[in-house]
Amino acid sequence: MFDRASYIGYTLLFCLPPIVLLWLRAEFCAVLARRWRTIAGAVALLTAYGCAIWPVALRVGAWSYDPGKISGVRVLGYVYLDDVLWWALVSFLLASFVVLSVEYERRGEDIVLREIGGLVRAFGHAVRGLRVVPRERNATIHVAVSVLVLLEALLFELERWEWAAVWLAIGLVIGLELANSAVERLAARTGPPDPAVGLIKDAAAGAVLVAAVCTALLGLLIFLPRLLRAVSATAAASLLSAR
Amino acid sequence: MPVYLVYLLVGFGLPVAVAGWIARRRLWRYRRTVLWSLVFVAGLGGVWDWLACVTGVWRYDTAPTLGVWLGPLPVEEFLGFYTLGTLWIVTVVLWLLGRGNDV
Repeated sequence: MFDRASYIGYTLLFCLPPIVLLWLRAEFCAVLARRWRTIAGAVALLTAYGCAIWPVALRVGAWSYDPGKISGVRVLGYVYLDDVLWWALVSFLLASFVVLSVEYERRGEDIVLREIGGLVRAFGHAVRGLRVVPRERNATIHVAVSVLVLLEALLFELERWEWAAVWLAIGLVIGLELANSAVERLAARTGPPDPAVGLIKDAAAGAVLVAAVCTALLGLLIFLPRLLRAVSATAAASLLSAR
Repeated sequence: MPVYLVYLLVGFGLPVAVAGWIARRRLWRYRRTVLWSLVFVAGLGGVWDWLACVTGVWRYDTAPTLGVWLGPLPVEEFLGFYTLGTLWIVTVVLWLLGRGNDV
């Protein structure tokens, strides 16, 4: 996939997303930043150890690399740059996780189970939120139009990218409609009519309008040429049969 | 001789045995962290390893193995690399945390 950058590419592909996941969260970052010396020490120690023993594996044939899929650059003429990066990133990722998990385990908390539980609960709330759809006029209209569009898409045998655009547009409009419903329901609970709250409601409704108009234009772009071809083909066929 | 297994036992098994004995109390105290680390490495690392093997970045058939293969991966990868390699990294981090009196 990445040719000579394949090894490094996979290392970045599998290590960077979980590293971002751990370090981007303010709550986790605060813990990790306090222990940066431990993490840096672990990375230095483990990378040095890994770099010392990895070339031995290649020498005894425990595994081998495809020369066309590694950088070929040797650090100090001994270890591949790809291996150095592998050890540095893997040990940084695992050291970050261990430091974080230990911190929470000391408080009697399992951070992984807590996060999984939170995700499951959030998913449950989101699914329950879909109950709003049948209670909202505009949301039901959007769902009905979506069904129509999907049936047309099946009928006209859309290209893969056109399917992607259709699903994206449907998701955007219905998603924004749900957000608009949430804003409206929240605004209804704020008490007597307030111009500022009214403007907030209008802005949310405007967001749905923009998405709906753009989606309608996208629909025209995808379906109108096919519809016109189908109509003209039918008209031509009926003209021929009339003669 | 299963070269890969011997390599893993010498490269990771010995250091894990020594460092693990020294940090045994901490390893037991933070056993959830150790277990989750093993789960993550086997899960994420397994997919990574499999992908790298099927796309030909690296291969394990250049020296004798135990002969048990799970797709393109020898069983040593699961017994040795994921388990001992992870334990080695976790033990070093716990040892460093202990030196700083953080655990």
